[in-house]
Amino acid sequence: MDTSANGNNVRPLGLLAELTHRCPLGCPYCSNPLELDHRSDELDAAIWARVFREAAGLGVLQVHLSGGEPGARRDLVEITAAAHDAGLYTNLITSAVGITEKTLVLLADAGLDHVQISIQDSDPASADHIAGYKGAYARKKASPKQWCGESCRSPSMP
Amino acid sequence: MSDNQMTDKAGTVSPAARPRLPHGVRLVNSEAQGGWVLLAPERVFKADAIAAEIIRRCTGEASLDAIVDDLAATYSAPRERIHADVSALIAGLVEKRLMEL
Repeated sequence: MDTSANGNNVRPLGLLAELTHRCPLGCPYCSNPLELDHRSDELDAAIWARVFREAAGLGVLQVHLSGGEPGARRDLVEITAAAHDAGLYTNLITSAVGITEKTLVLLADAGLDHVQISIQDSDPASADHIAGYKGAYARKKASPKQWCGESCRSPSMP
Repeated sequence: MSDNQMTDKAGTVSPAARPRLPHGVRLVNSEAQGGWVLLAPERVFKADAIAAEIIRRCTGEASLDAIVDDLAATYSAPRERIHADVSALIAGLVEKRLMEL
């Protein structure tokens, strides 16, 4: 990495944090269709906090909290708070399956900046087939309003 | 009031508009990146010193008029010129959904 101070200083902008390889969905395109790292091998919140601080020091501005399904982590709120405290812009990449309104409020209070919901297909039946999870599409589509109420801008989905 | 009503067809921002950063957009000073950056969903914009001075004032409380007055006084610069620069920057950010009016 070029760390010279001559103006050509190229530094990383984003960090993709795979918090877990566990997921309720089983999309075959995912890098983690099967269990890669077992739960007991996952990095704990304290280690993630150190990683976030080091990343911020390198210049990273945004962290994408992903997986697997990051909502499978019981300490997701703690991890999100650590990323926020490190000064990072925090983006949650989720299947939306298993993220309750209560959890989302806690995440928002912890400093979560943005939520990104994965959509497997614009066709509901195909989306559920890809995810290997019946009803996943409907749950994803309903999530923004469940989380934020009727004022939430409705996604343009069939 | 919607953003559409606060800008005319030429993209000029109404003097009464009170620009503010939307949810999910933050202005941050990054020492490691060497300056101000505007952070948005999956996007990062470097803000030069002038842009940062303008965006910092977009809190939703000050009107465009007040922001221009403040900058003109702070930098002893012609108000007309400041108004043109501020209006253009804010209109451009509204277009990119990085600012609300």
